[in-house]
Amino acid sequence: MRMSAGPLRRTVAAVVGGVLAAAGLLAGCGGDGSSDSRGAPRPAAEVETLPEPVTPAFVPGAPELLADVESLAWWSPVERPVVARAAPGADARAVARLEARTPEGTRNIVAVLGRRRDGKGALWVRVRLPVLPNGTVGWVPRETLGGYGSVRTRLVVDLERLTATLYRDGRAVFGADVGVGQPANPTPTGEFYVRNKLRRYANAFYGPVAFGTSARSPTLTDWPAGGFVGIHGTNRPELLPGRVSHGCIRLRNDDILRLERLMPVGTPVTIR
Amino acid sequence: MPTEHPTPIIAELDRDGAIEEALAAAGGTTRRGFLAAALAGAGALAGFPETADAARGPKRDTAILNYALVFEYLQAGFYTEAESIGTIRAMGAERETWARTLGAHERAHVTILKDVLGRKAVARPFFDYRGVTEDGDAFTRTAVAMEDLTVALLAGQAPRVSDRSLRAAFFSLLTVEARHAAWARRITGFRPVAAAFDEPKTLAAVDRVVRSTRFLVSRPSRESRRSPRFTG
Amino acid sequence: MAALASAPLVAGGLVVAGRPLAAAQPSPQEDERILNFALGLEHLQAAFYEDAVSRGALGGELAEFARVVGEQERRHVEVLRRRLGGAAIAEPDFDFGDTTAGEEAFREAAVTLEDNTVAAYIGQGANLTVEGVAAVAPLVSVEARHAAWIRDITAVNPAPAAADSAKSAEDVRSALERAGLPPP
Repeated sequence: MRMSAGPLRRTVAAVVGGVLAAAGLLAGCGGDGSSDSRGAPRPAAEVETLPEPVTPAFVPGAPELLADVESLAWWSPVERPVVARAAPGADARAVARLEARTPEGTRNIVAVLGRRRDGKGALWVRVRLPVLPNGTVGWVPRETLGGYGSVRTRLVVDLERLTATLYRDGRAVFGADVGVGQPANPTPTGEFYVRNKLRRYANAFYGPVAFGTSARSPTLTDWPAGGFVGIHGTNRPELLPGRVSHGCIRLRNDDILRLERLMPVGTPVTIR
Repeated sequence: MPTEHPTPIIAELDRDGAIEEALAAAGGTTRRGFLAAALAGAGALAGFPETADAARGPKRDTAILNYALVFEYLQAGFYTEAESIGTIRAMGAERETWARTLGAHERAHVTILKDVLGRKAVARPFFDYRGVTEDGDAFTRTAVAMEDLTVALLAGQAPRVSDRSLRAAFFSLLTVEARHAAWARRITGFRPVAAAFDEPKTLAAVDRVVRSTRFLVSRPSRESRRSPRFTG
Repeated sequence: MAALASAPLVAGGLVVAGRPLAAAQPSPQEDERILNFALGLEHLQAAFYEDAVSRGALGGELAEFARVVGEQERRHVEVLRRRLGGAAIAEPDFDFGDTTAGEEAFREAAVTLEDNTVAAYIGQGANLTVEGVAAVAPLVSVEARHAAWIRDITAVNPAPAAADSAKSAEDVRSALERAGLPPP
């Protein structure tokens, strides 16, 4: 069965051709390759008569080497409720319990800081936790987390100067005045991350966008939903900059809308 | 996602077993014979169920390109993650050169396929490499499996692409992926070329392997319309 | 890249407008000529490795490479000859000169041979009919594996670019001649 054995019907070529091709290859695979030859073999191929190569529809560019790995930060969703431990290993001290969902209904995420194997060879991941006391880190089994997301951004909130600055690959790309916690309910300092983003809710107090962070008010521990620190807009822009909130970080609405376009969930947040 | 690649269902497979399956295929222990390969190739032309209604032509070309793009995303993400978190750096100079080169190629493939597809390009999916990018050995063995699978995918799809300039481009990608596969195999101690013929795989067959790895997952929800209850 | 990105796309498809086609539409007759060219290359490769093995100048992994790849090229010859039937060209007599006489010369010639076979297949792949493409697809990637293998043994980058380039049949032949190899 060769292609040249007879005219192919174009209408069935797609299907039959495949079968013929397969059969042709099959025949060649097992046989000695000579039984099918007929007549005197032709002389060598005439290279000059062959068509020129078809110009490809696309040509990939130069290899893209990875640059600036250091400015990447990692996050991962919590796949199922898990107890974070003080060290890699099931018998290490429990530090906190992690839920798979946030109070806002989004997937709970953690900032990924590192990894290590325990004595039994199981992979554990060191994560920053959204619990009190602020700054708590712990270890969870790798399989309790989902995939890794990465961001190149970092937000720095300066409680002294009352500013928020977003860096991308180490360069400042956004800056704004902020309102922060009153002396009685201070905004906590330390290393945190953006946990989720809320939009299109009906509550003018928070402005058009509210980011949830892993930071928690150390004073308002019985606040509904845990007293998490948000980064959000405001209906009182005249108070900014200032020490005016219960711990949240308030921005003017046009600023928070600008930040929304620049800052993905998972971005590390430094409050100092 | 393209219609040819519905949102993957997270199969109830044993995690290690699933990865072992993909790796065994790479190692040659469960590699099917050429007979089966040729029949599979014929099956591809006879009609992969999800594309039987899509005739040879620009629409199918777009779908095939998009599937190739998903695959390049999968590979690029794999190498990028392993390099970014330091796994590749810890593997020694020879493997580091190899893995960094492959990552650089796969990222270039993503870029060009997105360019070519323009607005039709599928968005980058979310991947969970399930610890494989965090372990030098698991990473290398999975890379072998992935590169071999890419070869089988492109070899299977090249005849199905109807535009000839696209087909020419597919051939240039196919041979590079085959170089990757051979290089990966030699580094891991496998023979770089397992057989005289690479077994083309249908989209359905490739899809089964990809699903068995469970690397492709749905993007975690990080946004909500609920009213904030932050401290304010 | 930028030019490609902005290339006009036909509505609903990806056919880049105005692109010159290398050949008129593929045909079984054209397939025959192209597959015979491929057969010539496979003959050349099979004979090259068989010659190197029989001259016994190779050791270690290089000897394994020549033996394994030689056997695979022979299988490729069989498949293509089967397919071409009575239209197949005869196996030419090759004179490999010094290219198979020592390890260094062999390595160099083998890299040229494999890289150019890859480029030749890429160059002709899109000139084939659908059936022709299906026939060569399982061989093309194996040639690329051979190329990567011998390059890695030779300590040159096994995959030097993000995509391999095509070469015309004439360019392939002159590249082989420059490397001291006989024409396919």
